Amino acid sequence: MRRKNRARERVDEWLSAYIDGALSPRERARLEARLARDPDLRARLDALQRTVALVRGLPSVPAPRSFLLTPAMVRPPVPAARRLAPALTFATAVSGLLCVILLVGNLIRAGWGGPGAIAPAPMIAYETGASPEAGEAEGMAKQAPPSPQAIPTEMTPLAGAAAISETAVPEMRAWGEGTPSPLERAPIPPDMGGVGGGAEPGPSLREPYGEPEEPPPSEPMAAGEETMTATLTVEVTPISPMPEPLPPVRGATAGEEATPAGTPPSLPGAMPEETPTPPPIPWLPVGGLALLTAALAALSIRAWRAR
Amino acid sequence: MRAEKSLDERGLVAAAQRGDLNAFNELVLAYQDRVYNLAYRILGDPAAAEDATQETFIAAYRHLSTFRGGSFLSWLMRIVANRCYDELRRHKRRPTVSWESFGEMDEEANPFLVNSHPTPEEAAQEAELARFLQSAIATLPPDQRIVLVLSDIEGMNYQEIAGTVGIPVGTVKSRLARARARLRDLLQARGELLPRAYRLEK
Repeated sequence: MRRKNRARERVDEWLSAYIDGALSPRERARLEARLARDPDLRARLDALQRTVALVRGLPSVPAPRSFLLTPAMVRPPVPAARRLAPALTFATAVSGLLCVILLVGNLIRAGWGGPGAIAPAPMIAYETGASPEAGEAEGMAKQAPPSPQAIPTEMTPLAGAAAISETAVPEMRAWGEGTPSPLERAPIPPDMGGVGGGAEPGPSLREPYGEPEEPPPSEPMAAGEETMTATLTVEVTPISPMPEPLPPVRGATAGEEATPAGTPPSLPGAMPEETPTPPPIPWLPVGGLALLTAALAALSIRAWRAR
Repeated sequence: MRAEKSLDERGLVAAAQRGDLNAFNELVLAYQDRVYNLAYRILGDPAAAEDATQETFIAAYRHLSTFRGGSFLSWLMRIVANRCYDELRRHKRRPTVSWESFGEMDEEANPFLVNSHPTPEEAAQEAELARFLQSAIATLPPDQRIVLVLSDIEGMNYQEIAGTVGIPVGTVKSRLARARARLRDLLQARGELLPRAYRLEK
């Protein structure tokens, strides 16, 4: 049965090729000889030829609409990689920023910028704290009883120190001869405690107070003016770190006495000696972030160039 | 291949290759009927044929740089034939006009098959025959169907079909023979459904 089908298929193949004129001259001659003596084969050929004629005669189906192209239709599609490009670029920027922040932050902590890199913190505190506190001191000066020797607030520290040392001498002498120094009685007045009485950074913060303060009156003070005297003890302290231009008067000695009472040296240069060994730079996270940034940057470039 | 319209195909193709969409659209207007007809005969479904036609022109425009001369229409026919062939194999698409339902099929089922004809009776007979044949073609396996359509509807020779589908000439010959024989057997088996003028008498 299968063999019969195979033979039938082979005959149909010949007949089909015969219709198309695709047989070799020898094959065509053999087929035509068989057709002449086999009416069934002729009928099969006839049916096949009519079938092919029917298919070839099928009407052409016109396009139901126009297929004209618009520019939007032929715009090249945005590749998937390209769509990721903005997100990748943003990730690169964030990663790079984190890397820089981590590195710079650790460099500052480790003091790689030299002694000046560490000093700014207290200095900033000094500068920022100066103006309001100076204003406060001004207010205090206004509240205090008017004195002919009042020093203007805008006086420079050095001049102020000189003025204080000159004017303070009699007062100091008076303390030294008479009652114990107000420093010993009340090293830090209660009203100053809030400002600079805290602890170590105190002196540098308290320093501005020395500038606008008026010198102590040359007359002996009344007991009710103890607050003003106490203020003087504080204002003397900042002068102590720079005694060079001053003559070795007892006022300076009094300042040196005041120092251990809670006023460590406030010179910025002294600070680096206090800092322990700088913390090590965390190279692993910094390096990892740098590598991640580089990888993201490479991916971003590839994404933008994707077609 | 059928006779092509007189049109400066080479000049339009060159302009389109330089990015002139209007020049390409002139080619679209000239060949869209041929492209759609082939798609419809292979797929047997008007909507699917529309999609295939539009996609063919878009693909042709995007790949104009790969066109290396010769007949532009043949190049288009190769694109649409392969697109339809892939569609048939991928989705095992069933024809909307089924052979089994041919006897009960509504005349309005496919208005594109109705041609203008001198007499209404002849027009009706031709339309019925066309629907009958289309439903018979749709029963063929895809590899036989595409060869039959390219040969007997598009008029391609064996070499052109072999180049379009990407198969040897000998395979074209055998597939075409099987397709024609199968169609003949179908027509003989259900010939009583055909108008008398088109019946295959044994």
